[in-house]
Amino acid sequence: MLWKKEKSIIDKIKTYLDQVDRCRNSFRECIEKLIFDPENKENPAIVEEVHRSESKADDLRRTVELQLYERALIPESRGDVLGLLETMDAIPGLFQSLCYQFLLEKIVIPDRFRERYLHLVDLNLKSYDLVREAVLGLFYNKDVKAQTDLVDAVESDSDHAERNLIRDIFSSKLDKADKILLKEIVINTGDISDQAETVKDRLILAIIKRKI
Amino acid sequence: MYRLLSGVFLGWSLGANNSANNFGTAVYSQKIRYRTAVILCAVFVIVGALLEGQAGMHTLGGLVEQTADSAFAATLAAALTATLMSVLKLPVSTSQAMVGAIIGIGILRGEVNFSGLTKVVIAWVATPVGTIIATLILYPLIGWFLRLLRFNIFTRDLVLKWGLIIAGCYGSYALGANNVANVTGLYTQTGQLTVFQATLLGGVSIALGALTYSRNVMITVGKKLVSLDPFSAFIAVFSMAVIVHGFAIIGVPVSTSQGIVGSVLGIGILKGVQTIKIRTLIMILFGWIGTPSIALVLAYLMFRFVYL
Repeated sequence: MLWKKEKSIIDKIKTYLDQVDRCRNSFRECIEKLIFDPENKENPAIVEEVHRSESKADDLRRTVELQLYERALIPESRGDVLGLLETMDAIPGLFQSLCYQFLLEKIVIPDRFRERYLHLVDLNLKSYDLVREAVLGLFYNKDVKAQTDLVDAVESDSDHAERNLIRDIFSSKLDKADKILLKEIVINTGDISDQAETVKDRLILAIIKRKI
Repeated sequence: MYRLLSGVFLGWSLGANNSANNFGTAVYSQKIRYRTAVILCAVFVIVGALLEGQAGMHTLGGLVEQTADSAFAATLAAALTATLMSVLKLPVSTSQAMVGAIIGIGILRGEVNFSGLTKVVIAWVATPVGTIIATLILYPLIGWFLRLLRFNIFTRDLVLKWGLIIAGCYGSYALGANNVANVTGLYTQTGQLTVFQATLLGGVSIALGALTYSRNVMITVGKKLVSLDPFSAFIAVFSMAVIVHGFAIIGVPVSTSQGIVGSVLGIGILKGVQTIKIRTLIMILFGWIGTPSIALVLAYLMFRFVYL
């Protein structure tokens, strides 16, 4: 009985993180289609799927927040967990806005940059995967040091790939306006690993605060 | 019968001031409601006083022979000193006020048991030193045990919440067991109360103080202690309870406030940070010298001009 409400909140957080994961998978699928088949008529529907997934994650986060306020945790821990979830929740937001950016601005990645851009996307998704596992570890008594260390390394790889890609985009013979649009897409993609790093920083702070 | 009122007054003042040391952190960090905390505090103070409050009575009674009038004067002087210190916002130690008042009466009558007094004074110094040592031992020991159990953030919160409540109850028990002698101890020596009656009346008086007038002090103490993380706060209260209980067993009334300062100092030593201001340490020193001196003078004057 004593542990029941704590278990119920952990289950809800797990459900929320699973939903963010579904959003991540939809995003990966969507981006691949937007890169390699930008004219496909089904693309808007796929982007909508990412949007629905993001909204559902948002709803679940709000449920967790309400339960945290109503039932459990001392204010200090409540603040840490809420802060962590809110920072985490910015990531599906980035997935969604990137898909919309492709769709609304009719972005077409030139052939020669497609694989490299997809690699950048995968690097950023890797940083998300690592930080998601680390956040979950906080609620399931797991040592998360390995994951948090890797988030930094992957974020650094992403920065590197981002800079190279921007440099090569501007060295190409593309139209100036296209170059600027592509640069924005690259930077916005890199924001995912930046946000993953912010989540990791919050997570580490929460762990250090509780270190005995 | 009116002579017992000074004991009730002293007990009330003690309860209002000292229950904060036990439950301040838990209340301020919202782990427990104020009302629940003071009810638990009151219950455990009475239980502590009834079960283990007798030993201290013999110690205080052994310092100076008492009559009904001198017991009243000493208790009233101690209560007035405690109130005066509260008004001046200086730390209150009823144990030290009581001993000062007893010595005041003793000087007037030319009879003080100095060996008993030495035991008491050593205990005063040993209280913060003891809580520092207890903290240095308990923090790594309980910390190691908690690390072994590897709780998640929610379970850890729950464990610390219950830890603080249990430490608060234990601290209240120790407060009742240790400090009840200050409140009604002298009345047993004069035959006005049996030991059981004295522990019951003293315990209830302290409990009343906790129930009716402890909110502000609890918030102030809680605010000060909550700057520690919840685990450190738990260790601080628990170490204080262990040492104060230890002194209750050997029968020396000591100050829970000075005990908690020692614990917080111990946490500072462990973490390599300054947790206590120099001013607080000066106040402890003042508590050892100033509080008993004021009570001594008050008791001396009161007994000299009213009863002699």
